[in-house]
Amino acid sequence: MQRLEILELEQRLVRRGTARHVARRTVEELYDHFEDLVDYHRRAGLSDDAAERLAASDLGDSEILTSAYREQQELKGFLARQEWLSAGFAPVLAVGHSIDQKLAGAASRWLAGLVAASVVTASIMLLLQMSITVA
Amino acid sequence: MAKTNPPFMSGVPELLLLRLLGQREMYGYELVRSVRLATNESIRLGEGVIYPALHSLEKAGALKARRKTVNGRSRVYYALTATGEKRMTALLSEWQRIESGVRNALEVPLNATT
Repeated sequence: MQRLEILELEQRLVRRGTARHVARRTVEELYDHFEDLVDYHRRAGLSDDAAERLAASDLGDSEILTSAYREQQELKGFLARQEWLSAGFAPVLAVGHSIDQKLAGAASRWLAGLVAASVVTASIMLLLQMSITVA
Repeated sequence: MAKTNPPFMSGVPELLLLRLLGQREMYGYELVRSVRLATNESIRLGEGVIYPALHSLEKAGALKARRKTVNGRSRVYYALTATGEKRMTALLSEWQRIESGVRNALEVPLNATT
């Protein structure tokens, strides 16, 4: 796990259901751990680059870490823990969203019709006014 | 370094973490080193995957965490709680039961089991 990969891990963990505060602290601790490993390898006589490479390898694969968090139900965020809730409300939300879209569509069509009607009425009134004036 | 078989190791990392944290509070990196040292390098916990285990134990109330600055570096230190101590005692007795059973089985000559 390289330095950059550690920093990107927070979003990955959150996307996979880990609670945000857990993900944030994990990244902070992993970053410190990485720095400790780099120091250790430097003290053993490795160059900066070699020490960082070895530290990244020691820290292991980020995918394994992500999977380990996914297995820990108690470390998940509220919604990720309530799978039944998400599953039950998803169709309701989808229908709600669809109704909302239809209503929004109807409202905009109604507004467009009102504007068009106003323009037509104003034009007729203007024409009548002009004809009255001409007559 | 011998590779560790995860199913065989089930419960062992947790027991080791609780046992070592029962001696003194430690941060993640320090804990990984301590496990290697205490087990004569025969058990090497994944450097990264120690954190899900620590966070899970903390959530269960077995550990408490606090941020502490040492030599200018801020670290999260973990310490055993009373709940953790009970859990460690239970795990330890379970481990001793299994270890004794396995040792007995291994001490029996191979031809005596057939």
